[in-house]
Amino acid sequence: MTRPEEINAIVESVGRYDSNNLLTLEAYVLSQLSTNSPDPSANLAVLKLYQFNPALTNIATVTAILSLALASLPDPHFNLAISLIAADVASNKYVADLIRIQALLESCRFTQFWAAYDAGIKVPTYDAKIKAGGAPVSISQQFPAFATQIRKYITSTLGYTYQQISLAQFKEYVHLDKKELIAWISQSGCSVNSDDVTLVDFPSTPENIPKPALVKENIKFEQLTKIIGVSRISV
Amino acid sequence: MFHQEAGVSLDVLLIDLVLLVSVSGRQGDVRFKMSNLSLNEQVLFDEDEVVAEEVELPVVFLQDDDDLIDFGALPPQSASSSHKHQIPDAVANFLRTLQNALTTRAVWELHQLYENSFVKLTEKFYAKSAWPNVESVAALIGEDDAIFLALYKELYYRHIYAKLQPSVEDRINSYTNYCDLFNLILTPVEPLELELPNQWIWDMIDEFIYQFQSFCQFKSKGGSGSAKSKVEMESLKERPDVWNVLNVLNVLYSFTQKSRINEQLWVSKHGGDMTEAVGQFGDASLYRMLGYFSIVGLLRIHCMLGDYTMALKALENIELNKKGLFARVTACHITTYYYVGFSYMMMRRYSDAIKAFAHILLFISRTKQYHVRSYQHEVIQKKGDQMYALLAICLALCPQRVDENVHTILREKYAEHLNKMQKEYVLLHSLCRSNDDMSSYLSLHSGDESIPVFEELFLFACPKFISPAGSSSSSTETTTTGASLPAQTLQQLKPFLTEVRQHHLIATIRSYLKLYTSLKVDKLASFVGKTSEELRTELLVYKHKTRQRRWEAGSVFEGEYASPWDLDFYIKQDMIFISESKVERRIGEWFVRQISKFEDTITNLNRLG
Repeated sequence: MTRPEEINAIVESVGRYDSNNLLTLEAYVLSQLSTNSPDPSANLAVLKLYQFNPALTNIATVTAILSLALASLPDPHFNLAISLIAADVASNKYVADLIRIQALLESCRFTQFWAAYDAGIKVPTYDAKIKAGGAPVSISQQFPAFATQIRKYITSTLGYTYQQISLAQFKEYVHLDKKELIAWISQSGCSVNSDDVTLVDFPSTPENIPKPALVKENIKFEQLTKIIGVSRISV
Repeated sequence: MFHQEAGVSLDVLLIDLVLLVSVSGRQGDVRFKMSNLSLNEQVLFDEDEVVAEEVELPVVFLQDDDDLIDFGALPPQSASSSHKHQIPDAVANFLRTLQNALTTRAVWELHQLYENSFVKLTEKFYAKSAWPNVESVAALIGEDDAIFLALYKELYYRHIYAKLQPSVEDRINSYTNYCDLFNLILTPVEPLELELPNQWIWDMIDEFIYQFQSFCQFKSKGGSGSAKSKVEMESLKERPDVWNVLNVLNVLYSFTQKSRINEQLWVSKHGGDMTEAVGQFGDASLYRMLGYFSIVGLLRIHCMLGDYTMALKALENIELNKKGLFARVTACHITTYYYVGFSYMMMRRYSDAIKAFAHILLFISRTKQYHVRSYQHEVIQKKGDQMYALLAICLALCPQRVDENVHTILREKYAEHLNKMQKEYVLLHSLCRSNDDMSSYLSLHSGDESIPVFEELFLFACPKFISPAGSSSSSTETTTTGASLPAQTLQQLKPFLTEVRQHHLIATIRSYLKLYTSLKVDKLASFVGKTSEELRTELLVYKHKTRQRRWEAGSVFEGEYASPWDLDFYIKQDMIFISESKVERRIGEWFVRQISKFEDTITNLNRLG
């Protein structure tokens, strides 16, 4: 994920406090949606500008940033973003919706998440002039890679927890139908168990094969030199 | 001839005084008779004024009350700020010496004057009132030493903020003074020829940020609603630049840029041409320390604004585990660790937060005897207490081993809180006769019991958050316990509590998993009182929450994902396989330490005997 030069110049310097740069940064946020390349520090810089200049807050940008943060799970960028969002912005219905979605994902209630997703998560379209955001569209329209990213997060979390899981459960968590499900399984490095077709195997990672470790004390020689020097060797 | 006789007598008197000073060990005993002498002799010996001044004070001493009455310079009775004519001589002396030391760049003497004399004089004369205002001091010292006057003004306002209630006018004036002072330092083309002790520089920056924070809180409270405060609020609206967050940040950034402190730190870490990186300003110690402390100042402000990533990024060139410049001033050392730890905690990097807190708390407990004497003792105590609270929270959310000493003190302070937060239910299970009892007990005492405890500790320990736009709406909301909080604190508290709520079954599950090496999902579900499905979800949550970034190397901001050290599990269809790592008792280090101590004792004994 590369950041364009001019954005870098703004974000990494004192220019990030200049509200004249807002339009450039807002455009950058939108481009992140289409290219699926979340840039957390730039996004947090935008939120900070909103914090300093509440009158310039653009709800559509805020929801865009939050969706990008959701796509970056398990990193806690969403929480960090929320810390910068004032109460009145957070009570905006689109923002509140996204907060609710995040709660579902953080508490791993994936089936409920997919139910909400199917029911339609709406976000406002971006318009530089309309601070409250334009007409609402579904999130997948604005951010096409959203569902895939969330699926990746779900699969990786499952991968840390399970070595083997039943196909039916996997299907439920990942919310895909037969053909897409098989494609997804092979894409994410899992495999259907050869012996029992109803099981899905996860790739072995250090997380899902924990070995009991015995943390032993490691006494280095240097630590002993002090006492060796003064030890009395009685003859 | 008369000259000569008087000259001899002067020498004799001088010798007497020197003897007096050296014989009387305690400073308070020396009587202040010099002004008598100098007043009398000055008339005759103008050319010897230098001599008189020299003897006047190598040591600072306090004036006794009866001497005061002799001179008619009584301490001011009221809290009015117009002491146009009554500056006690001790204070006048102090000011003159201060100016002298500033011009001669005697840093050690400045340190003494600043740490000791200023405090003592404040206690003696100005415990309840302000120091003499700047006009009278200017009349005394001379108008043209702008730097001295600006520095004095800073002390004057600092005293007002500390002991008295600053009025709106005070706030505005203090801000203007800071602007003037910093302009004096920043605008010249050549570095200023000024040296200040590190403690003073740190206090200046610390106070600057503190006054900014105080102003933001004052503004958000919107005044007391009386007619006077309405007028005050109006006058503030006319001056949007006063304590504007952008200006404050600008000051700190200017210091860092002017002194090129980041480049300096980078070069000292990676190697390179120091003189080139440093530039003209960076070489002067005043600027270097200002730049360095500004970095810590930035860390603090970003934390107060709720931007934890920027806070840690500000520190990117400072390595915490090495002895850095920040360790030279204790208050700075502690402040740095506090804010770093808090930022880690809000970024959900509990492991790193615990390490930071444990480190600094160990430092505080080990150096306790040195702190009691310093006047910053209270501040250090308070921050220490807050850090214990935060450590308790982090340990409840991410159990980990900490150093023995720290753990003992923590248990002393927060045993009950820890228990409520961690809720180990296994013992209860063995007492309950059936699983039904257990689940009913659990449903009665669902996670909500621990939430108020988390909240209480968080509110006690969190920094005073500020809202930069400073909306003067008195928007307060209530918490679970019904207390009302300013909006910005609540804004930080909410995500934290949501996070805590999601953790609530993790501790319970953990305590069960500790007992088994393998366990069926259904069985665990029945223990915990949830359905199998719900339990699977909770196990996912466990895994998700305990994966966190941990600092391995590089700047404080970086970190790699690592799984929890002690208890881990994986699920294979319906079976949970658990593995617990055991940490062996570390005896080696303890023995080495005891052996050295023993050696020292023996050496001492041999020396005596």
